[in-house]
Amino acid sequence: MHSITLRKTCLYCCSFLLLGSVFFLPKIALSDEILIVKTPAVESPSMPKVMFNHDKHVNFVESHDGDCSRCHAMTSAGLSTTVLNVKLQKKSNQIPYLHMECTRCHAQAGAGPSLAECRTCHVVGARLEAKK
Amino acid sequence: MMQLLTGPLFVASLLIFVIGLVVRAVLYIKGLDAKLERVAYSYHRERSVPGAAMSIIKWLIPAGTAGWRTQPVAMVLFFLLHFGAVLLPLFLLGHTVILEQCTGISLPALPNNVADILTIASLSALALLALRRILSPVLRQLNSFQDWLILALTFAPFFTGFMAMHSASSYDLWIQLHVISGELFLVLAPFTKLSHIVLFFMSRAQLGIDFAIKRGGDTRGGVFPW
Repeated sequence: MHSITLRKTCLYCCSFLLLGSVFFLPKIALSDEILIVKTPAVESPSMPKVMFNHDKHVNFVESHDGDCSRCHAMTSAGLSTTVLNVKLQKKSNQIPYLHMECTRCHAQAGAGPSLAECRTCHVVGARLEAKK
Repeated sequence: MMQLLTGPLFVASLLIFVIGLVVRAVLYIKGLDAKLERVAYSYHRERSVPGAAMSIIKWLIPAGTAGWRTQPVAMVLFFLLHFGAVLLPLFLLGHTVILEQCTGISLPALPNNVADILTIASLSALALLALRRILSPVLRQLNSFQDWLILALTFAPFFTGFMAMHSASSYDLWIQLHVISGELFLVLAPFTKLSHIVLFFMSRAQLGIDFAIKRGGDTRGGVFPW
């Protein structure tokens, strides 16, 4: 009898923890949402992929005009999921296009890295922690 | 801070560098003696042009001249330093990206590991050239404060760039120091011995012309056997 009660208690605890984690985990992930930029796809990259802190940018936009079209172009299917019109660019021009659009906005905003600060965006390993 | 450093301050230092070096080249020509040099050089083009070209080219080739061959260690260190000093500012990936965005000119980029090797070679060469200056009694006599200054000015952009590339936690600091040291180099180059970036070509050309026209030039077929 005693053993059954103990087992039940354990089961309740585990269920509670499981449910709790399902409920809380997405929130934890979203609080520091780092997106890996995959457009354009680069076959043999010279640099690490860009780790993009989306929430930082959302906070900036919300504190100004709330205009998501600063970064996302309006298409027939709604707002683009990629940066502005990067997909409409020739493949050879997609990286220069992203460099230009990102750093131009940073210069206007007086925040964020300039084109000379390569590794602020192209980050790996330990630097990613610092970036958060 | 970086917007200022990579914007107006970068443009200003680049202008000072280019205009300053052009002025140094013009002053070099204006400083030539009217009778001894300017008049003599304006004749015998068939000897002066190849004389100038060979003087420059041979001194740009490792062991290309007797002058290089008599000091092989210094020669190796010199070329190790200058391969990096010429190739990295122009062909490092980060630099080509900036150049393309600012001017539309797209240069091929060095692979990152090649850039690393060039940087380490240049830094090692600088350190050993400094050691040579300390150990050699002749160089110790000749060395001035400015000589050490330009050695440090050259060391700084290589070192800070390498640290920015490889330091895990202090990227922001190193990249700022890299831009500042690079701009200091550009600004001070026309006013120091770093002006050899352009004056090397001027003085080698002049010596090449001189030895091709005067000093028995016609007996050697125009080109001095450096």
